[in-house]
Amino acid sequence: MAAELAALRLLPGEPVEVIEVMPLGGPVLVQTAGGVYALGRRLAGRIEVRGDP
Amino acid sequence: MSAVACHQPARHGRRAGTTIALAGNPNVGKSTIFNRLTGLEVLTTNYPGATVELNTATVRLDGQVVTLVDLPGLYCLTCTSGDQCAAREALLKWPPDAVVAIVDATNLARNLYLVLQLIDLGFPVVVALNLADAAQRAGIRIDAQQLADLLGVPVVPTVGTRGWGLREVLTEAVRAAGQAPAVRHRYSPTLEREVARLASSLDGQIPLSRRGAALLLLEGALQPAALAAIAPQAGAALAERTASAAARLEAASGEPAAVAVARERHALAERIAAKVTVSRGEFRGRAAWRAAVRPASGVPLLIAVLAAVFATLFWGGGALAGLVDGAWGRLASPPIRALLLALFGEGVAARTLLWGFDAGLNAVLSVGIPYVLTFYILLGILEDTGYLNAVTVLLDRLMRGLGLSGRAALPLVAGAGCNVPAIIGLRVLRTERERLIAGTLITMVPCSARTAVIFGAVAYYLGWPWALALYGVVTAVVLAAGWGLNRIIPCGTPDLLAEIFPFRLPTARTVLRKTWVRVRDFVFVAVPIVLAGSVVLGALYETGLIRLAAWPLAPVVEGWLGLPAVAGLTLLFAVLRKELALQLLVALAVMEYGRGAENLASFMTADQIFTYALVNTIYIPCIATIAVLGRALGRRRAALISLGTVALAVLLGGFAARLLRML
Repeated sequence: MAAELAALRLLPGEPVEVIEVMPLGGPVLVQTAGGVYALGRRLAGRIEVRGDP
Repeated sequence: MSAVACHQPARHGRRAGTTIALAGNPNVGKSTIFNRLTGLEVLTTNYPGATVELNTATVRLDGQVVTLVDLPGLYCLTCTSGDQCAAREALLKWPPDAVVAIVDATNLARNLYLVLQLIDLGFPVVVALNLADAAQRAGIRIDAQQLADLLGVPVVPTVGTRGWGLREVLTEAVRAAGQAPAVRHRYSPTLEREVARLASSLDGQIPLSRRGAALLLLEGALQPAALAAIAPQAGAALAERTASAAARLEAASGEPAAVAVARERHALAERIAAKVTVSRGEFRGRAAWRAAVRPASGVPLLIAVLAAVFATLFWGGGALAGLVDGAWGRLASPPIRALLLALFGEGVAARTLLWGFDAGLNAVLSVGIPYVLTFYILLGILEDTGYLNAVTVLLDRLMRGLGLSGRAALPLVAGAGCNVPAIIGLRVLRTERERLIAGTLITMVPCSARTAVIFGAVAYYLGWPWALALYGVVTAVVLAAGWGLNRIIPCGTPDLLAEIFPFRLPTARTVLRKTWVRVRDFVFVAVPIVLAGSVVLGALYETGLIRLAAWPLAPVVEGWLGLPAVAGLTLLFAVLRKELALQLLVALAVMEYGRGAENLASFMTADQIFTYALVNTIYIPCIATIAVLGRALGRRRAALISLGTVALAVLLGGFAARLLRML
């Protein structure tokens, strides 16, 4: 899955905008330069996001 | 340009004439272009995963034979699910003579990632800049000539749905076939140095360009052992050299080699896209998407959509059924009856044939087609809007409780059309466990044929609340089965990773074309089976053998389920096609009580009609489903699932019959 994430431009250091967080442990919708993606909550939980300073 | 061969499963190895593969990210219009180029009718949708196998066809272009291969969508050449592995294998193991890289002009930079990878691999590439009309509407303008200059390959703007630019694409691909492109793009000096070092150590006999193979090795998308099998002398030394190169790249970039390569390719794609994009658009319809996936608005919307589907089937399908039945009784039945009686006299032969050619055909046309046709029109609209893509996100949490990711919602929903393509579609799922659970549940999802039974029997004779109740029972059974399987089968559920696509307005042409393809298959497969089934049942009936044939079933059918014995006999025929049971039951009623007595309520109570439809919906999938299930999950599992559904249906049917009698 790491290669697929990389192909979708979900790479370390890339800007990510969280569009929607589904309740009850549902997926997270994020926008990257590559497009808009739905990430399962466990997968999203493994991605560390730092806010803009 | 003309199609000279039918849609056929992919053959490995060399194909006729020049082989051109259609590759691209999911949902960029590959199958639409394939259909346009070949005149064939591969089903297309506005969500990823519609193509899970290779579709091939042979066409003639200016007298030259060209084999086109429509690949499943892929973002890169790694193998994470069955459909992606099939696409990768088609490219790497049996390289085509040229690749048409179909890109979404509304998302150029991300799509160029795969294009660059294909060029890196040494394929002669032609870029089809598809969805050019959508890009224009979104305010995006791309300089195709400059893009061609930067990539070093031909670029042709196309609109697949209208056929624009497709002949030019194919002509360019044939011209480029067999000629390795001069790779114009270059990554950072560090990466290029490592690629060159690794490439120089590869044997020249590999079926890929050495530069491309070296990049794949560094990305971890190709195992050295795979190349060693072709070039044994490379062996362990190649693995060692790959590891050393990856380590040097990691040391230089500060991140794993695979990430470094991906980052460089994205950066290059971004630079190229920025140079050729005259004006940029943006992801539209975000508000609509949010409304569709947020539970507060998405669940009511889903219920509204399901209610609209249900209501259209009930009133629209019902009206059509009544219309067809009336027309058959007035216009078709009398001459058929007169002809058969004139030819065969008043004997058993004529009466048996009347079962097939009058009652049987009438049942197909008035019970099967109206509901199936209505359902497929609705499914086509839902597919092409992209709403089903939103459903995968909305239902992800629920699906996890069943041991599935939201991605499995697509084959499950597809199962409502027909279980066969839905089971083939299991290839989009990432794990064997997920495929097993989803495959089991799909066999219980009411397909269009079962929908015809539910609406043709329960809704038509008992009213919509009964049909709704039946759907409720089946939904509860599917959820309970998924919940149970999730607890029984070890290992976890893979995470959802899905691209979100903007909603699109479906075109009447595409929806009607898809409906025609599906209904045509239904008619051509169903009619002969119903005719044959009706004649066999008719022969049993007219010779009096029907009582004898129904006798062994009596303890279960009459004793446990409380159904007439002959109704149980028709259930046996449902293994051929699910709606066949009801059609034969209607035919039985017509022959038993004469025309006008096709009313099931004339010889079955409401409880019996409900129980009959419930058992028919849940028990054993049709023979075509069992066959593909065997291919997808193995014969043993297919047999277990089929027998399990029989046991479940009989058990539930008996309880339902008793409960209904008490109410």
